Amino acid sequence: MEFMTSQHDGSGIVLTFRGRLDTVASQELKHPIRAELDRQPTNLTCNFQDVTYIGSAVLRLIFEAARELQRRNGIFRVTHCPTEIRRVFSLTGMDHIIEGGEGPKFTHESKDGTLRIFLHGRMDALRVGEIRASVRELISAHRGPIRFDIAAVPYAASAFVHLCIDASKSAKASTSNFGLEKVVPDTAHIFRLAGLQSLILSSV
Amino acid sequence: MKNAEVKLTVKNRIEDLLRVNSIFESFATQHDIGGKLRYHLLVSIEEILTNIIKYGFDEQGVHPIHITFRYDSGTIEMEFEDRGREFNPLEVSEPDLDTPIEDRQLGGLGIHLVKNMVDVARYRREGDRNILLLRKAKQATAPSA
Repeated sequence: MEFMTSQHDGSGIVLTFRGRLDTVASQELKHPIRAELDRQPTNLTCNFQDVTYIGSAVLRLIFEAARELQRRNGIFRVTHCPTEIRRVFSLTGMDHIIEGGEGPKFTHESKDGTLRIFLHGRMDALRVGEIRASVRELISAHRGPIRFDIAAVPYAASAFVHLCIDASKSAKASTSNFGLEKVVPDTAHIFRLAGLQSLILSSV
Repeated sequence: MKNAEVKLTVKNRIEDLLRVNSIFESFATQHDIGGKLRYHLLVSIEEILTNIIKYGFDEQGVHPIHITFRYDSGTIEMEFEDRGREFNPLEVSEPDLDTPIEDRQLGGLGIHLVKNMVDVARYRREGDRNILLLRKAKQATAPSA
């Protein structure tokens, strides 16, 4: 099974999903999920740690599984949910079934005078709006080179480009420099279109 | 089943972008639109929508934005319709890409990206409605000799 593996532990089942859970994946997942539900588990855990995308068809399968567990007074949980996937659940009002807090939107380290910010997930207008203030606060307090490591950023639009322009201006103001590391090709294209290819220090 | 046309209405709230993305992702999967093309169309949707949400309405409050995704004979069309003030985003000044970063003015970048990512971008005003049409061929046409 490409999209799901299952582990049985007594009366509990853990389903570990991976990859892009789109309409095609939903066709492959429908019967295996049904088979697991037919085992009548008293608790069912869905681990989404390695899921990069979830579409409406798979969401429906998950919700149906949750409802079935609830009807049987069982326990249904979603764990290790990446921020992006959590947001999709939030939109549908089902984020209460997700266990644990939301993961960090970014992390950072300061090493050898360089501030490196590791960004995660899609850098769309909504996400950039959520992180802008805290990223600005970090970079404005730093004197020295600033790097955004965006290996885990699969998508970026103009809101993120503007954030990078801000970071670059801030670095220049302290006579230092700013750059992007581990840029995926499609995002590199966005920066080339914006005339900012000079910000790209390394690609993946 | 493939839907040749998908229509949806969202509100002028930035968080509605997620719903539009999700519906477009499903539409794109149905029509085998992937990779760079999918990325470019998602960026185009985001830039147009955020533009309408941020600048399209003089008065506060909730306003609907109607979106249509269409697929026909290898061409993807995306249409955005709102009843905001008359505004042609395609007339926004191009950003000066040669200006050093520290002197860059913000603004115009999103529309610049859109213009470079689609084959056709057309605006029209019909009554009190702004209608913006974006069109992109699934397969890039070979440059003519």
